[in-house]
Amino acid sequence: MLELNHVRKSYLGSCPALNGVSLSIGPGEIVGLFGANGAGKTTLLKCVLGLLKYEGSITLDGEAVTHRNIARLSFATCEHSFFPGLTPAAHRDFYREHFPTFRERRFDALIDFFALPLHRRARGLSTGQKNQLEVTLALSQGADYILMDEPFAGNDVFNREDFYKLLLGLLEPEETLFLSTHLLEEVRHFISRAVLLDKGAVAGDMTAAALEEQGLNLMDFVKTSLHYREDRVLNTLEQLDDGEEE
Amino acid sequence: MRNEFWYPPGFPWEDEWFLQRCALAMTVLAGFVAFLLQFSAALEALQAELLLHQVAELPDDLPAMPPLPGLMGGFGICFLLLALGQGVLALAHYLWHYQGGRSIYRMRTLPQRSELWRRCLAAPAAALVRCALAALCAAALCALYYRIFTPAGLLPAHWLLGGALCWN
Repeated sequence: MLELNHVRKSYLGSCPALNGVSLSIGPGEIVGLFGANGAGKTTLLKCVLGLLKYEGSITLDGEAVTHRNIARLSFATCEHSFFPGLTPAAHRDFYREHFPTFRERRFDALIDFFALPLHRRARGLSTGQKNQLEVTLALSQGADYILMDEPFAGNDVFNREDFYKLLLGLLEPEETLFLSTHLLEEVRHFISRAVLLDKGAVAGDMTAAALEEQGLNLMDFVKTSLHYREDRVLNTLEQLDDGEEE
Repeated sequence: MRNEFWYPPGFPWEDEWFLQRCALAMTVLAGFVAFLLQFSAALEALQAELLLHQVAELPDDLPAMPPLPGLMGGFGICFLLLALGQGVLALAHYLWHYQGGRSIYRMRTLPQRSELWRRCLAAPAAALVRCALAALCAAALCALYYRIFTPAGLLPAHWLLGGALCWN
């Protein structure tokens, strides 16, 4: 169980990026993390990994996240955490060496699925291929909790759709996915729970089953929870029109 | 153990390896040349002083060559620059993890806590040791040169370490 209790994070000279976030994510869940730009999604994931200092507590099965249990977490980020000077094959060697639970068969299967060149340095791959390598590594590390932050920014829709299908068949029951994305429509059939962040706080947290029970779809839930103003486009256009007439 | 094990993953360590050796060779050369220049200048100045006083017979308090450490300033600066360069190199190794992405995230989330620092610091630390050994060897060469090419009568009593390091 990944537990976050009253997690707060402030960057110097700005308002809090996380303002007392409390969450529990159990094994086997596929959690979508949604929110507007600047809501604190990336900051939250980085705090979980210990990449940022924070107030509050984050525990993994009751223990603080340290180097002793960090291998149970993996991270795929749109910023790319792979080594640009290494080939996918060299990454496989590196991961094999550093992670005893590395899933080599899954790595090979994903490399085949994405048709990634095994012996080309990562810096020479296209943006889409870089995202695919990043995701492949996160999924193959052998982690129990897989954190993803906008992993497919820049990938074409077919690749994304196919990947989500593959992922459903790929993940084992105890593997947990914590996925931050803006692509609500694409992941709505895929996630088991939606967590919404707004201005650094949890604005909504509901399972897919509960949404279905209430007859809500994910987009409505997000819009309602984040107080989306349907009239904002119309208002802006009207303002522009008024200005031109004057 | 493989050489790349001591460098950030994907780092062009062969290039650094070559450049380190070139830098060390050039530092030894530059250090020795700096010593030779200081030695020659000191010897010429001393000979000029002796000529100026038109010393026919060598008196007891004859001015002598400065002790060896006094002629090693340029030599020391050359090796100091190389040593400081290792600090810059360690920083470059660290910043390498920000090139073309954020592999620093991967390094900081490895179960092996010391991996990042080992890969950033090991090569510069080894280069520092090589630098110190080379400096010792080159200093010994300078001392040998000083002892051989300083005229016997101009050799100071504590020529090797200088007055400051001698008790008597």
